[in-house]
Amino acid sequence: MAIKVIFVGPMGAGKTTAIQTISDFTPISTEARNSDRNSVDKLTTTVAMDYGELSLDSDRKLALYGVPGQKHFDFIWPIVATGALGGALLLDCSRSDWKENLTFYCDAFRDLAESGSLVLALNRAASQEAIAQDVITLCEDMQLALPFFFTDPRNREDVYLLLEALVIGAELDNELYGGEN
Amino acid sequence: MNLSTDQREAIKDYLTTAPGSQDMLESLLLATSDGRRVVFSNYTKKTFESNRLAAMAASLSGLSLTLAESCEKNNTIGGVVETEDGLIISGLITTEKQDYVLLGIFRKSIQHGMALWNFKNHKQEFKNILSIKTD
Repeated sequence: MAIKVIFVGPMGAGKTTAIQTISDFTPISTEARNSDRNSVDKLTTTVAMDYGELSLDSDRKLALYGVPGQKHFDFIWPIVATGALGGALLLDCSRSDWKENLTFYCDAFRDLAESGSLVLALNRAASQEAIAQDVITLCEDMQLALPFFFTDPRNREDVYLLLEALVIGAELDNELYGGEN
Repeated sequence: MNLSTDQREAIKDYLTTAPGSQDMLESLLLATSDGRRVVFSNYTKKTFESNRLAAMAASLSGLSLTLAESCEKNNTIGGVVETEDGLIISGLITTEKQDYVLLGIFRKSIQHGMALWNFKNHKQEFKNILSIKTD
């Protein structure tokens, strides 16, 4: 049985990299040349979705979906998010607009955030203590309680930790609420 | 996506007299391959959200390429959406500096072969204009 997990967040946050890092096979990707090198200086960007898989045991595997980050692709977000157990919101904390991105994507994926099925992956965080305090404050303002981790999407253990948090959270919900939440 | 003034003028001129614009096409849209609208021409009274169409055209093009590769099909030309109200055709245009997606929306009465032939000609014309060397 495949459990669906989605990777969301702005362009350049590391969604494609995270899926590449953890997938059992070379992920399926839909890359196109990036025409907005001023915003994020990378050659290509995802335009439809990424897809990879991670086996948990002989019976279970995670189906890993990445969405395009740019806001003009918001039409595809609910399509990809349908049926997801949860999601990881990746943020590049070296960018000056990471806080705006945090609130924007929490709002865009409000259902996941409110049900506690969204974890935050904070990348390129120079001053972790200050950033952690900002995240707590922002989440309180949005009346959300979201687990967050300082991660590097190139690091397998870091990405695995995110997925573990999502799966354990869902299993706990299932035990406590019988799958009602 | 920095088109020169000459390129912009050439595209504008072409769109006003594009073959099939009177009787075959509902719309032609050019976007960057990452979903930003470049130009849009609507030959009907329909209301299109061209910015959203641009993003969708890029996704369709990206999926078409990946689907073709996964099916071991090389040199993808584009993607076709078949509806009872006419064809929607997308095609990737590659140039040295930037890749683009052309989207053609065809009228209900137009046969597939005619639509594909017409679209191919538009795609070649846009490629010629977009490939003009600029400083």
